[in-house]
Amino acid sequence: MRKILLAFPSPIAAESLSLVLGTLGAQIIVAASARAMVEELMADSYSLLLTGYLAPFMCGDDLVDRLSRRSAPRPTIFVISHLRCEHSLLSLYESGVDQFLSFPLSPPRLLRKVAEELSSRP
Amino acid sequence: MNALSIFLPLCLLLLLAEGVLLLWLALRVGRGDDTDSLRQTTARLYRYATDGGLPPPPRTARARQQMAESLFSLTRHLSLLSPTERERLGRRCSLTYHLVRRAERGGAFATADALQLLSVLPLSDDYAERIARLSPAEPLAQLYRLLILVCHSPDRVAEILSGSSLPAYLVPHLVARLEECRVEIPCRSLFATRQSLPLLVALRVVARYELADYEEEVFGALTLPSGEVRFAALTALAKLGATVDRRIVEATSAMTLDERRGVMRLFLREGYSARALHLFDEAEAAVGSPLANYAARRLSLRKRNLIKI
Repeated sequence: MRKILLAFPSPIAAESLSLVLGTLGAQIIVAASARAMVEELMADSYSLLLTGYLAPFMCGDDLVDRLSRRSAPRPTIFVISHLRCEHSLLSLYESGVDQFLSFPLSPPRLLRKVAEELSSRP
Repeated sequence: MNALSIFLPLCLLLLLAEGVLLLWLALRVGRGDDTDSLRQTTARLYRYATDGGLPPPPRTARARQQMAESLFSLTRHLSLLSPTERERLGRRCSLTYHLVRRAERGGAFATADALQLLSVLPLSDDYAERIARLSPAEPLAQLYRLLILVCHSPDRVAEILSGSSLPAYLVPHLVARLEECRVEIPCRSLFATRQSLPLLVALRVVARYELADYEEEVFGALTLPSGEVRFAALTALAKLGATVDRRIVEATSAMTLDERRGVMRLFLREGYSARALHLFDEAEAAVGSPLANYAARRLSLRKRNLIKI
């Protein structure tokens, strides 16, 4: 079964996204904080990470690089935020984030995107 | 006798403390975890959006507050509930009524909070009039009041903004929230008002989307007396990549040394060369300012630092 990790500063954001993604049949795990998210990612193998935390990718910690160096394939990383600053978005992409989505999300569009992503993974 | 007179009040005091502790525990257990109940409310609102079944009206003020908070957060995260559905929910669950009352009667923080939660609920004309009559002192409350009024009558943006004051540092937040609410901002009519707040909003939009069509209007804003408007206009011109001419240099003449340095940094950050900024150098050299040749010095310093790296 595919595993999706959700990590958002707002519990309502995580709850609403888990309600939307609940129909996919994937196992959804919610991390309560940025630190918990990093620990989960290092400890387990996930297919997809949906997160609202930007700092772990921009703090110079090379999180994506560390994930890539493991034997397990790294999860696809979608950052979802209200942020619209172009420089920050470029920094996110440079740090290895696969896609940036901005709130508010359209549930059918999100479902389609996540389903496509999960089906494209080996 | 003496021992009894000391022992008896001590026992009574202990009993009283125990009673208070038990009452506090009972209230805490009854309240449960806030995050859990917020999650449950969110799930109910999600079911309302997907199945159409209205959630039961909240019975307590606390439950009402939680529903309003969930609705606010859900609306900001998912394009799920249409304005009609939100309006129906606000009316049937008395959210609008109570939030408007709280905005009118609460203190500074309560008013700001109520207005923030109201900003995702479409209002009737009566309620909008009541919100328009408010004049909160709290900057965030002013921001949400403006947002509510603009979302209620998007065709009157210029009029609403002209009659309001909002600290300049909150203008980017206002523009971002207006974007989220998909309100079309008529930049030309905002420029035409020549008022500080509409101009700051229009300049922010022009800078953000690099709308080169409004370059002349932005140059026009340089002649206004407000320092905040002039600085916003300079920011917009730097973003637009406008040629630095006399009008720009003259707009900085009344600024302090630090402000002029800030303006030059603004242009340098947008990729202007020292040659493109030579008019600044000439103006600074003419008054014997230490900022003469600032652009050239700063660029060569940056090059040296890059070579070291």
